[in-house]
Amino acid sequence: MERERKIVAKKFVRLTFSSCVVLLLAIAVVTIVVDPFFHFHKPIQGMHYYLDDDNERYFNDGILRHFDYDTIIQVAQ
Amino acid sequence: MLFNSYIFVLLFLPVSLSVFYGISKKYIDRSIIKNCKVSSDNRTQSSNKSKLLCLISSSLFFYSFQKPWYTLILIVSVLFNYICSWLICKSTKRLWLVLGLAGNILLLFLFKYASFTVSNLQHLVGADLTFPSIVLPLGISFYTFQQIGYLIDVYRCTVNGELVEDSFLEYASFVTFFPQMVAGPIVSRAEFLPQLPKSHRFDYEYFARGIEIFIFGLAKKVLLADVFGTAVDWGFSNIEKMNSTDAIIVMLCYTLQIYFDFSGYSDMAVGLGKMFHLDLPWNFDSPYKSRSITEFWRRWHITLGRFLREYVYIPLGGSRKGNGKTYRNLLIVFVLCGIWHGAAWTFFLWGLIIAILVCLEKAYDKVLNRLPGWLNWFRTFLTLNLLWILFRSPTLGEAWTFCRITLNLSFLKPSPKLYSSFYTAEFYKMFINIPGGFADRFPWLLMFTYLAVGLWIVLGCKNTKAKSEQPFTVRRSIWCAILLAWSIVSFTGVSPFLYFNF
Repeated sequence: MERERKIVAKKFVRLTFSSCVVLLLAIAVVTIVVDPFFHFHKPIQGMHYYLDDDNERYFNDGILRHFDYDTIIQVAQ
Repeated sequence: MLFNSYIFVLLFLPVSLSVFYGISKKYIDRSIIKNCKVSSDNRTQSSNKSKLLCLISSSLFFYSFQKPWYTLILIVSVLFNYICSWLICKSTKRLWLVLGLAGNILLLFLFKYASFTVSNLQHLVGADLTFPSIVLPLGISFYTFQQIGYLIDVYRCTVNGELVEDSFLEYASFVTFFPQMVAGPIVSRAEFLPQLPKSHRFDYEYFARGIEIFIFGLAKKVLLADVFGTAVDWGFSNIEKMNSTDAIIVMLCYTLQIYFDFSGYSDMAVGLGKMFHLDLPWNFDSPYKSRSITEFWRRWHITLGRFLREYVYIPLGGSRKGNGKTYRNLLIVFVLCGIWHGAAWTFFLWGLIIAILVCLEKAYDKVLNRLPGWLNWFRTFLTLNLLWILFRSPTLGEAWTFCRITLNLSFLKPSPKLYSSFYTAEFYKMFINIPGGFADRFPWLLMFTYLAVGLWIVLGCKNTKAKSEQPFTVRRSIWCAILLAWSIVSFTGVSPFLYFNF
């Protein structure tokens, strides 16, 4: 019984940590791909982006770095 | 350093565990290779010293991470108490015990109560007295009480003729062990020190339990307590603007916040202890399921209740010297409990009211036992909710205003600022995108969902202690992984634990 419980506990630890790592990686990948604030790349064609009224200033950095433009005026208070 | 932070979960904890078990493994392997040429006593002593040094240094690093000067006070306190305990062991004179207790109480008074006392004296006698405002060192109430308990236990042992051979390293580990130093549980000498000399080979059973318990505690704090906390902060900053619906909801939110925050911390402490192969006592046992205030204090902050019972209530005579003295002793214990939480009249009154209620329950025990269980539960839960208002309010005046608004029972719609506190990053977008304008028609639905889930967990579910006795399953492992990942991505901003204030 003692040996059985140890194996189960070991499996529990490994399964918990590996599942957690997979979940965190999945969250990271989705964040990078969807990239709602354009921090990693320019907008993907065909994808709809929601420009939140309360968080407009957080888009500025991403727009500056990734959008194609000739001239840009950015304002933040 | 907070348990609910990236640096703790992803860096400090893995490193300190690796070093701790690395040291243990080194001494176990070395003894196997040498085929017992090193005597077991020498091996154990060397292994122990290294392990204890590892625990102490990681604990001091943890403690000093944000404010290094707190560590100086801690070190002075540890040295002072160890010297007192050494003197007690040498001569068994009560003088050294009294000196030790006086030193601890003076330290606590200086940092916690001096300013409050001086300002009240100023109002009372009209004198122009000032006392510099001193920042309360983190965990001082907890580690001071723990050391007071240690001194009394050592004195009792020496009076009974028992040998006390706690080394300085063992004592320092006992006081500074980082999972419990800052906000409890208040551990006793008898339950911690005998665990230290054991050989701490890595044990998957202990480690798995520790992880499971730690994750449950972390989730309680990050996913629940902090959400309710946003609503509570709004409520107590806008007492006059609330209607009675808001006040009742904020009252419930605080009831849930303080439980999830403190029990979450305690669970994390127990879980971390198990990861180091050390058993710490449980501090909570489903307190909101209690059917009396007396029962509540056997389930809430169990180690503080135990401390007050062992070192205050029983030495005063307990319940052995007639009803009058029993009520007096209960009054002293609960007023002390109240003011232990902080230097304010709200805490004093909170403790006093609890004392009166406990005395009344004792006096009318037979009558109350005849009532249906649900009615006893309801009156207890309602009383606790109202008392938490007093506990949380900055002043007596605000507490009174809050209670008055709560009991107004006008039942208007909840304020937008209140229900929008529950528009968390995880659920807000999903909620507003429900088709049919659902969020516009029922904007408070997310708030009531959180309240319902919170109440279901505290009243309907098994607590962490009960869950930790169940066997490991794949489903539980996946659930723990989800909670851990969810908690880690929720580590935004700084959200210290409520009991750090005490």
